Order: sequence, then C-alpha cells, then structure tokens
Amino acid sequence: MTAGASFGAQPPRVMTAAIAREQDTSREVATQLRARLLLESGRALYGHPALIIAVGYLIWDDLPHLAILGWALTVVASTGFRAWWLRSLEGRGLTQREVLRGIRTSVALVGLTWGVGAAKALPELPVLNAAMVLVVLAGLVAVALTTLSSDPVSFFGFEIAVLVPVFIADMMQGLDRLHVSTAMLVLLFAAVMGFVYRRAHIALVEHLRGSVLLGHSEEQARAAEEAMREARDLAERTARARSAFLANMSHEIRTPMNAVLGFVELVLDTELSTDQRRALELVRASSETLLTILNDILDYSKIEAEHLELEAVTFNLTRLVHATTSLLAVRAREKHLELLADVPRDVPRSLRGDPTRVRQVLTNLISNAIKFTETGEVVVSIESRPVDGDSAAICCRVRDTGIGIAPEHLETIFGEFTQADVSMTRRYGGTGLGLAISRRLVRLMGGELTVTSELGRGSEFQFTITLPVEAAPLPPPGRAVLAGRRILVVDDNETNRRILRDMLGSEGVLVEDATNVNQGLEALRREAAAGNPHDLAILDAQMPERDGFDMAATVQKDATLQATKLLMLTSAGQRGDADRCRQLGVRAYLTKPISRADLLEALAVVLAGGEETPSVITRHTIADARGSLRILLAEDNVVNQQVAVAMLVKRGHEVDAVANGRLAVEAVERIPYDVVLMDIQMPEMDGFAATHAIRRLPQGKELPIIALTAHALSGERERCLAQGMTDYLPKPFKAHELFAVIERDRGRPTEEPEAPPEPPLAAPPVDLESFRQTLRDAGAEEAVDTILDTFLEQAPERLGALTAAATARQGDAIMRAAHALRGAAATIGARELAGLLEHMEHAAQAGLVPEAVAELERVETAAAAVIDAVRGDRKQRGAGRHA
Amino acid sequence: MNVLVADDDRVTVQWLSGVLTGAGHKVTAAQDAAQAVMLATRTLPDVMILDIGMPAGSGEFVLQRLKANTRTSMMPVLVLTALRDSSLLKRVRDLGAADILLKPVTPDVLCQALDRLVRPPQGGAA
Repeated sequence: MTAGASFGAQPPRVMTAAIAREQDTSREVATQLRARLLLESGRALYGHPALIIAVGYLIWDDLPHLAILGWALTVVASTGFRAWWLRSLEGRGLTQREVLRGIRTSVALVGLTWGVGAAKALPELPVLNAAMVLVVLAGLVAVALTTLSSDPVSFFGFEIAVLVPVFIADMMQGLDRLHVSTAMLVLLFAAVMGFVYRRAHIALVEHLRGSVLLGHSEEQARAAEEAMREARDLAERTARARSAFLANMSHEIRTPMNAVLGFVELVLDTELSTDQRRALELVRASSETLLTILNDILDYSKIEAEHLELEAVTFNLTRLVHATTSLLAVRAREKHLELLADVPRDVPRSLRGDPTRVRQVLTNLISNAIKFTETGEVVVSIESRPVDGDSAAICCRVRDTGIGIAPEHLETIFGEFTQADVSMTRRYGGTGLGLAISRRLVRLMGGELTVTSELGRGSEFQFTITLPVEAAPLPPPGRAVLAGRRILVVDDNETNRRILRDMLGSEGVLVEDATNVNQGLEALRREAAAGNPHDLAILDAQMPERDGFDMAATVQKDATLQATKLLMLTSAGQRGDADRCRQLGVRAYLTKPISRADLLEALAVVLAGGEETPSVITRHTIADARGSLRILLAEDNVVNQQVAVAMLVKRGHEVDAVANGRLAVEAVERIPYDVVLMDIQMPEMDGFAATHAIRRLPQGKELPIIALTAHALSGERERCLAQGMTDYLPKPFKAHELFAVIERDRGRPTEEPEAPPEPPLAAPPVDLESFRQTLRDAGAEEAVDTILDTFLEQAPERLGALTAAATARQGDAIMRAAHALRGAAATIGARELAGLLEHMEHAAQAGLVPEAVAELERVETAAAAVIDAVRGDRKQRGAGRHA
Repeated sequence: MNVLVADDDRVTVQWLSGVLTGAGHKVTAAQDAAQAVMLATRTLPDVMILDIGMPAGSGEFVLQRLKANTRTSMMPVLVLTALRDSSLLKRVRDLGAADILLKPVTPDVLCQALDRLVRPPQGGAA
C-alpha cells in the first residue's frame, strides 16, 4: 500500500464493500443462469425426435429411405446422448466449468446433426419441401432463443452448427437467384437471431440480477426483524434478570458487611486498649457509612426497576422524629448549630406506614440541612390534620438558615447524581442520590417533596403524606430469658454461622448449626424425636438449592416440629417476603446485618410469644414496643458522645447531649428527663458538682443519675454513689451494659402515665442454666444443688411472710419480706421475680404501700413459677442424690 | 485466706461460700449480727464480707462494733448490698468499710475485690 492510498482510507473501504456486494450478486446471477440452462435444456430435448419424425415424413418420397432414417437416427441418438449426459450429471461430481463445457458440446452436436443432415438433404428436395425444412430449422433456432437464453456460447454454438452447413450446402448448389437469396436469408436470419438473442440474454440477466438484489433486501428485512425480536426478548429477560440481580447484589454486599459489622461488634466487647477501641469504633462508623451509601445505591436501583415496596406497619411518628433528630444532633452540635424538632401533641401516636422510609427521607433532609448550614438553626416541624375520619395528613418541614439554593438550581437538585453545583460534590461529599431517592420515596408514599429557598438565607423542604391512623398502640411484647435455650442456626455461610454462634453463645444460648436445609431438618427431627426439640431455628433466607422459605414450609407441614419457632434472616429483602413469612408461620423476619442487641431482643420477643402471634416481628415492631426514654448525656468527649448517642438512639431512646455539667443542670431544669448519664470529669462543672446541683432542683431529687467514669476501681462506684449518683458505669462500656443500666431504672414509679408496665413474665422464670454456668466457672458447681435446696426450703415461708405483710398493709414488714426473698431470687437468677420484688420493696420504702400491695399478685405468680422451675430442675438433675 | 461471710440470707451465704471455696478460700459463715461479731473477734479472719440488707439493719451495727474493737479494727470489711441508697452508702463508708460492692456481683468481681483488699500495693508481702 502506498502513502497516497491512505488519503482516501474511508472511500476505498466503502468501495470495497460495494465491489464485494457486486461480486456476490454476479456470482449469484451466474449460478442462476447455469441452473436455468440445465432446466431448459432438459425440457427442449423432447422436441427434437418429434421434429425429425415430422421432417422425415415430409421428405419420405424425395430421398432414399435409408438416408432419411440415418439422419433421423443421428438426430435422435445425439439427443439421446445429450439426455443421458444431463441425467447422469448429478452423480459425477464435475466442476461448473466441465458441466458447462458438456452442455455446450452436446448442444453443438445436436445442432450439427440437424445442420449437416439438412445440408445433405436440401439439394435433393423440391423447393417447397426444402423451404419447409428451412422453416423447421429456423423454428429450431428460434426455440433455442429461449431454451438457451442463459448461455450465449451454447446458443451461438447451436446456431452456427445448424445454419453454417445449410449455408455452405446452399452456396455449393450454384449462384442462381434462388440459392443466393436463400443464402442471404439464412445469413440475415442468423444475424437477426443473434441480435434478438443478445437482447433476450441481457433482459434475462437483468431480470435475474433484479430478483437476486430483491432477495438480498428481503433477507435483510428478515434479518432486521429477527434482530428486533431478539432485542425485545433480551429486554424482557433483562428486566427479569434485574430484579434477581438486585436481590443478589444486595445479598452479596450485605453478607461481607454483616461479617465486618458483626465481628467489629464482637471484638469491641473484648478487652481493648483505648487506641484499639477508637480505631475499631472508626471501623464500625465507616462500615455503617459504607452501608448507608450502598443502601442508597440499591434503593435507587430498586426504585428505578420499580421494585421498591413500602411496608405498612404501625409506628410512632413522634418517637421517630425525635430519634432521628437525636442521632443527627451530634453532627449539628459539632457545627454549633441548633437542631430543633417541633412535634405538636395532636400528632397521632400510632400511624400505619413505612417508618424506615419516612426516617430515611427525614434523615436525608436534616443531614443535608446541617451540611449546607454554617450558622443558625435547623428546624424540623410536623403538622397533622385529620382526613376522612381515619387518616391523617402529615406535613413534614425541614427548614435551615444555610447557604440556600439559586432559583435556577431548584429543580436540578432533585436530579440523580447531582448537587446544586458540581463543585459542591468536592466540598460537601455525598452520593448526590439522597434527594432523588427522597423525592421518589415521598412520591411512592403519595406525596410530593418540594423546596422553597432564598440564596444566602436558607431553604425549606416540605412534603405531605396521608397515613391511616391506628386506633390502639401496639401492646409491648414480653421478653423471654435466652440463657439455656436451644437454637438451631441454618446458614450456608460459615462466617454468618460463626457470628450468630458467638452472639448467642455469649448469652448462654446452646447453639447448634447446620449448613443446609436438609441437615437442618434432620437436626430438628432428631431432637424432636428425642423429646427435646429446639426452642427456635434461625433460617437464612438465601441458600443454594433449598432456601429458608423452603425449610419453613417443610417445618410448617411436619406435625412433629411444631414446638420449634422460626426466625428468618435475610440479606436481600424481596417483594412479598414478609407475607410469605406470615403464611409459613415464621415468627420474625429480620434483615442482615443485624446488631447483637436487635437479634437478642427479637429472639427474646419471639420466644416469649405464645402460639398465636398475630403478625411477623420485624425491626420496627421491636423498636416500637421498647419503651422510649428521654435521656440527657453529659459528656465532653465528642467521640464518646457520638458512640453513646448512636447506641441509645438505635435502641429507640431520645437523647440530648451536652458538653459540661453546667449545661446539664440547665437542661434538667428545662426538660423532664427519665435518666441522666453523667461523665465525672468535665470542664467548667464536673459530674459530682453537677449531680449536687441537680439534686437541689425539685425535679432532680429522684432523677436517676448514672456516672460514667474511666476509673474502674472498686472504690469508684461507691464514691459515685456517695456523691448522690444512682448507678455507675465504667468506661469503655458495651452497648448492652449501657442499656442494662439505663433500662434498669425504668421499673421505678414515675409520674409518667404511659410508662410501660413491667414486661409480663415470660418463660423460663428462672435462668438456672447460667446460674449453674457461673458457679461452674467459679469452680463451685457443687454449691448449686445446696443453694437450690435452700431456696426451695425457705422461699415458700418468705413468700408467706410477704403475703401476710401485704395483707396487713404494713410498709416496713413488706419492705423487709420483699428484701429477704429478693436476695435469694436474684442469686439463683430469677430476674423477673427479683425485679418485681425490688419494685415492691422500693414502693414500700417510699411509703407507697398501696402500690407495693398491688404488686403482690404478680410476685406470687412469678414466685410460684420460679419455685416450680427449681423444683423441676432438682428432680431432674438431683434424682440420684436426693431421693 | 480465711473469709468470714455474714448474711442473714442463707441462699446468699451458700452462694458466697461456694464461690469463695471454689476460689481456694476457707469460709466461715455467720447467719446473724451477733454471730458475726462473735466469730470475727474469735477467729480473726483475713477479711470479712458483710451484707447490709435493711436500711436500718444490723449490718451497720456489726461494722460499728468491729471498728470499735482493737482486735478487729484493722480487719478489712467488704460490704455487699443490694440497696442503692446513697446516704446509707456514705454512712457505711464513714464507718470504715474497706470496699462496697453492689449486688448482684459476679464471682470474678467478688474475688478481684477480695484480692485487692488483702494484698494492698503498700502492704507488700501476703
């Protein structure tokens, strides 16, 4: 290739393609011509014998019969040879050229028999007969015009073979007028035939080329149609695949995230140096952020694929708003912003809707407001008005005093992957999906997210959704003790099994695991047959081959497995899963990653539930059923503050955080808190001084104040208590320790009318398994039986004393008797009974005799259950030693 | 070491005895205030675990008597209580309790507290 050729790189390619197409067409036309030649040649064969017979009959009297017969025989033989040759073509595997040559030769041969024969005969014939023979020959050539129209060589070969001998014979007879004119006519005829033939041949070729091209375009049209059909099928397959992909993706992402968060939580529960703990808290926070972003993206894809389904569960909007603002308040405080929530009292307590999505929208709007505001405040306000009697229109507004949005950006901010200004992504971060998702979510809930803004002054986002109002709030479900329970974990993922084993094992749960459904069913049946069925099975929803739903269906159908309750864990929520769970008798349906606190709580609720649980327990049911406390956290360290706030808010409490003692005292003056968490070492006013100040306030006298201190020495607790604090929690603390110490104070009598009652007694009444385990660990297992025997011996008598004191309504006696029984109950692990007794004792001590007496019935029931349980345990275990 | 356990609740006494014996201590138990004072002055245990049950109960009385007696005034007394009454705890501390543990305690916490009392850093050998 020369340098010059490259200038026209584009045209040559196009031309090459055109030439290639042209060559294709020509090749195809040639093929068709050949095929036509073969076909027509075959048809024309029958004409020759018929014609020669007619000619022979015509000249029978003019020539010797032998000569006539010889000619006729020659024509028939040559025709027969041609026929035979054509018939036998298929089996011989000749090339195209050989075939063509054969046809041409045989045609010329046939023509020659006619031509030579005629040349021999013509001079002997009378003029009329000779003319007739010439007409026959002309007819032959004329017919060949069509039969040989596909191959000029054959035609001209035939024409020459027929006419040339005739011409020569004619000329040889002398140059008289007749013969000369005849010869001229033959020549003229040959020329005209040649001319006509050429035109016929060209017409035929054009016709064939046209139909070949037409065939090509038809082929192209068919191909295009085929392509379209394939594209449509593909689109349908893609749509189907997309939902599966989303579910799968969600599963694939959540599984490792579950492992990360689960193990971080477990490691955080161990002894760590401050640096290690801080690093791990950072890992946890980052993982949670990552999970949020992933959720954003998955949500967005789900909305795009129209696969997002809203839940319809009962929830408390007021609590949701406070919880959301509490969680974000830490961020606001870091920027010295005021974050206020204004939820009027007339907002219905129980609404039916999707709390996760409402919270998601609010969180997005509030965190945006905080992000784009440098000074001033962010205000969340809720308004409600009744609609149609049983619904409420809820209007949520989030107003800030931030940078505002220019009018031309007001609509674009709701677009995907955009912020008001591209430079903002760099400055403020974020996926840019938040508002797009929020708007779609609000639309799904039947509302519209709108914004009004003034550049430099601030923005206000607002949306209104209509939700049904629920008549009665959910009754709080009871909680069962987990220690000693037998739980089967069915999950194909080794890491998940390990996390669950570790989480449950630390609570004294006896965990067995199975890697697939068949193994799981086998374990359930084996233990059920042995009369010792598992209390509960945790099923992974996504497993290869048979999945969790499959297993649930099998368990439901098997009458022998009804004692085992089922809990479904999923990492990829699918449309209608909750319904399927309900139908399959699955008691709880939870999403991974799951925190230990949530898991344990769900288990406790499920195990406490009776045979008839109306609906499937989800994260929301648990959070809503858990009483919410209003908590003040006084802590100057921002990281610690964040950690504690996050723990408490996730638990469903409302938290206000302040950074020093003086602010804490001011907050207590203004707001009726349920409990105060007080750091001891703080700037301005330390925890002790603040506690003294709070105790001097009228509302602070009885307020539980829990000390948070980094000193874990044994004297520290007592020092805190001596300073007027209620309890003590050494730092660093674990989430469940924090919950235990806070929620312990909930049982106290408070003026709040809607304080949740003590959870109803749930089986088992006494946690003998962990009691035994504790003493076994302490090397004192042999003391267990003695202690339990003593308990059995004295408990009825002490209960009697308590009943007598209560009947007599003697405060002092009630207090003493309750205290006496409480010590023993607490020791052996009868926590519910101990709690009830403590409540009774405190009430009696505070002079609230009627309230103390009111507890008697529950105490008696609980005590009877504990005594029965201990007695049963002794009978079972000590049968050999104590007859 | 020798530990004297004083608690009017037998279940608690048995639990304490079990745990402490399991940890290798020698345990004597007293069921009431008088017995506790008597055993403390006669057997001179290394440490005493005293349950203070009632707000106006006998535990404070026992502590008072032991601190008043020169033979027993140096004996460390670990007070165990289920009462979260700050004024009571303050009184107990003023009376000379070496440490206070709030019930419920775990075996670990109990044993650690005892070890701290009996082997104070400044005490040296034990």
